[in-house]
Amino acid sequence: MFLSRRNFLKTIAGSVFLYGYPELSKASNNTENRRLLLILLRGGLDGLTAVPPTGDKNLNSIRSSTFVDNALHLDSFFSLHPIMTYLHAAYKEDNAAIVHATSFPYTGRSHFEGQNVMETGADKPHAIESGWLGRAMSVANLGSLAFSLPIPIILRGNNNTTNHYPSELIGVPSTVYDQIFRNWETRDNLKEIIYKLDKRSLAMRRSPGALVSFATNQLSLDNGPKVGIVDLVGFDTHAEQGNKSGKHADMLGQLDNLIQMFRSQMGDKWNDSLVVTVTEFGRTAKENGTKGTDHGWASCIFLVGGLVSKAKVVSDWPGLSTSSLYEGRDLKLTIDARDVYSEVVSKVFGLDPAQVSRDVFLGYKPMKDWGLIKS
Amino acid sequence: MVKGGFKRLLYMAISSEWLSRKLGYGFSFDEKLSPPDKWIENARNQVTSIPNFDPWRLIAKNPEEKNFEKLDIPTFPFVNSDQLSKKDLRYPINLGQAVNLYKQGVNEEERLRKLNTKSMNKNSPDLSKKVAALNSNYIRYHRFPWLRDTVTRGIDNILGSSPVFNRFWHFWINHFSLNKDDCRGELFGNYYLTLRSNLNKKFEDLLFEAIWHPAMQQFLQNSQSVGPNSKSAKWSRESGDDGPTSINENLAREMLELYTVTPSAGYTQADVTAAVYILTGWGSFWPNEHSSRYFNSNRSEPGIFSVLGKSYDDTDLERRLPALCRDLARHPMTAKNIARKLAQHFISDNAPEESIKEIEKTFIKSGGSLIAVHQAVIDQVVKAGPSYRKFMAPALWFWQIHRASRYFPPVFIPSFNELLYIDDMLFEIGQLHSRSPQPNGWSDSDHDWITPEYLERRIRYANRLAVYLSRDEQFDPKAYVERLHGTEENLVNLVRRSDSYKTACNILFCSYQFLEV
Repeated sequence: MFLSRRNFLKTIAGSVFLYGYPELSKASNNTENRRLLLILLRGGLDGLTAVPPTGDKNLNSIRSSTFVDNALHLDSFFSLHPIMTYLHAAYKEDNAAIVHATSFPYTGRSHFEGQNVMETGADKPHAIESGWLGRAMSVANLGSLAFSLPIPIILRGNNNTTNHYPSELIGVPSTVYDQIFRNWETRDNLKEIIYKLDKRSLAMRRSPGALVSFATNQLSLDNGPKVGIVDLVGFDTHAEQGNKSGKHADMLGQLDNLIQMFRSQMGDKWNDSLVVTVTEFGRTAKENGTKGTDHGWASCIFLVGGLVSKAKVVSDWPGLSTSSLYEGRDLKLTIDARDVYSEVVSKVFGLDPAQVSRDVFLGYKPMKDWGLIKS
Repeated sequence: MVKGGFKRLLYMAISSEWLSRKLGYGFSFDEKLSPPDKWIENARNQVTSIPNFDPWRLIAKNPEEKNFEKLDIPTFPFVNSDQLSKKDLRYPINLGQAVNLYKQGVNEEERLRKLNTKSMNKNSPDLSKKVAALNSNYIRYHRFPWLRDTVTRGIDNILGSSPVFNRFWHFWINHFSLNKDDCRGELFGNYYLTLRSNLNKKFEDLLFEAIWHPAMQQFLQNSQSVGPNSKSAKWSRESGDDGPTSINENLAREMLELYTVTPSAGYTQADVTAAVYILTGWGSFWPNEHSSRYFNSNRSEPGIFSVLGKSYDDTDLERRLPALCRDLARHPMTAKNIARKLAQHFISDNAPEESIKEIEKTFIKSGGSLIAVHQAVIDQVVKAGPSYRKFMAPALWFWQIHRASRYFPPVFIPSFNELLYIDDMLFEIGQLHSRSPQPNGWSDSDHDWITPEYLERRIRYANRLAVYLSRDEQFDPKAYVERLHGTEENLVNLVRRSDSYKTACNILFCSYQFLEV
């Protein structure tokens, strides 16, 4: 039987907002209300701009036009880009942690391969089709909603996924949908779409801020979705990267604003929330000839929210001297990013770390639990 | 070429309607198609030379008129303003002219910026006038040329007589993709024309012409990359001016990774760096010291560099890049890469390995002749047949529904208080060429386009088009669906029994039989 538009919307609420999952009751109580906002920083976040290792004496000599001064104090070695004042305040309240000199084990310096690895969580690019978050949510039996076009690879592997992005084209009467769906019903790849199609009842502007505002609104509902994903594109600053201000600083400012907006809208639920960043790689330690940086390797990860266990910068700092850089140019990886994301999915979804290792990260075993997130 | 009895057998299974949708932009409701064998012959001929490209005539009321300015064509946004006249509707055919327009835009923008900063300081009352001037500069040098590109190519897709050639042209535009955020509008059109005019040559020619073109040089920032031991870098260091004295590897990396050999060729960072040095000196269209191809040897890094085992000496700095392009084009991994991409684009995400091999073999055997390669693609599409399906990316679907209904408004009439321009529509359904988000161009994987949000937008757009079609109902969805899939009961019945003309159009355009081919 075919669903009317009205009933159909209720079903969407089921697949997106977690209604109707008997398994849900089995989840332990303290993870049931946890929420995750993942921010994908596409283009390659420059860890040395975002979280400059001001205690490393080599920083000054390898960075000139991109050197960030007046950075905010984090600890005796690391500082924070001065535009990220909100994140800094959260850090002071024990609501933010940073992992530095981290990345995926991929060293090929290609955006497209790097983004594939950061989303699939595999050792090699294009090795598998599904994404690590999709697999984790599938294991936890959770639905998800992506605020991007198209559905990012990171969410694939979970059948209960849909996406949303505001359109400026006017809507169509529901009877038209019903008739088109009668055609789609006969086709496997389109049949699934019918039940996921979303109705834009919420008028919103197409800006990262409006998207996060919408995402947050949904995430803050008691039976809302557990995960939101936001794409931020524009970190690939090969030329005129800027320092305290400029292109890279603008992106960090956007990130800071998104976090601030998320917190203010989550209200009390902030205590059960975690914002985590993912990027495909860092940028060259040394500045290039056009006042920018090229594709590198290790970068940093931000974790912000009430679920952060303690303010700290976790790092096994590899150093910036030419001999300690990978191939003499990139910051080396000393903590595998999968360590961090394993902890994120285990603790936010209440999953057994052994299961995460087996079913989400394809056998990868973290070096250790870095204690970044409350149990 | 498909031969003999086998050929006869094949043609029983395929229709010209299917061919026109698979290899072109589909068929119009009033278009008579030749039988399949003739259609294929014509398609193979289309790709042997560069067809005439003069789309505005196709929509002119007096197409025979020799003087372009006297052509009677519908009003186009922005034209007939202070800055633009009808003659600007044509692509800048001459590269020098495109570069000059580009410079003119930059200069004017700089001037207006300075002026604005000044007036802001003085709290000048005519500030708003100056902001308006800046906006009109943006329209003249950015928005207008992007729109002109979409519309010009669009008219030709919908009404023109070389759709197969255009499909290959668009494939290469996406292969050597640019986007508007990093490249100024006035360089676009000439770049696309340059790609077009090389489609009867070899891949190595196309590659070189794409790489040195100012649009690409600016897009991947090579025009700012300077050899650290070049004369220019030395002068900059001595004089202490702010000029660039070192490299930027953006273009070199993409040239290896995306345009030619791909990472599976196993190149190293040393290969990338060598390619960066070979690329220094190109893109010097600003300031004026350069060769006719905008090469400035003063900015080029001296020395002998080796990429993938082939070495390039510095007896003539300007000759290193064409030599590198030639060698990369002839690398076996390039043939593999191009063959796979073409097969995925034209046949299916799961194109038969045999077809990919055949295209690859043709690429190698013909020395990368694009005519031979394009004909091989046509032959393999025919050979693979209709059981290999491809879900149409939004732009292709957009042109196909417009060609089917032969409806092409260069400007959407601003009723409903909605968007006006075709660029906005393509953006809404997810694929505006000038907005390709990254240098790897738009995805060619079905699953990137089969998502709830994208499909919902197609339904909305189809509805929009149906509103226009319903004004005269010249396009008959019921007749069309029978020509499209006469035997597929489900769709034919749905269209026949739909509750209104508009719904019938919408069901037809959004049915899987139309979305896929």
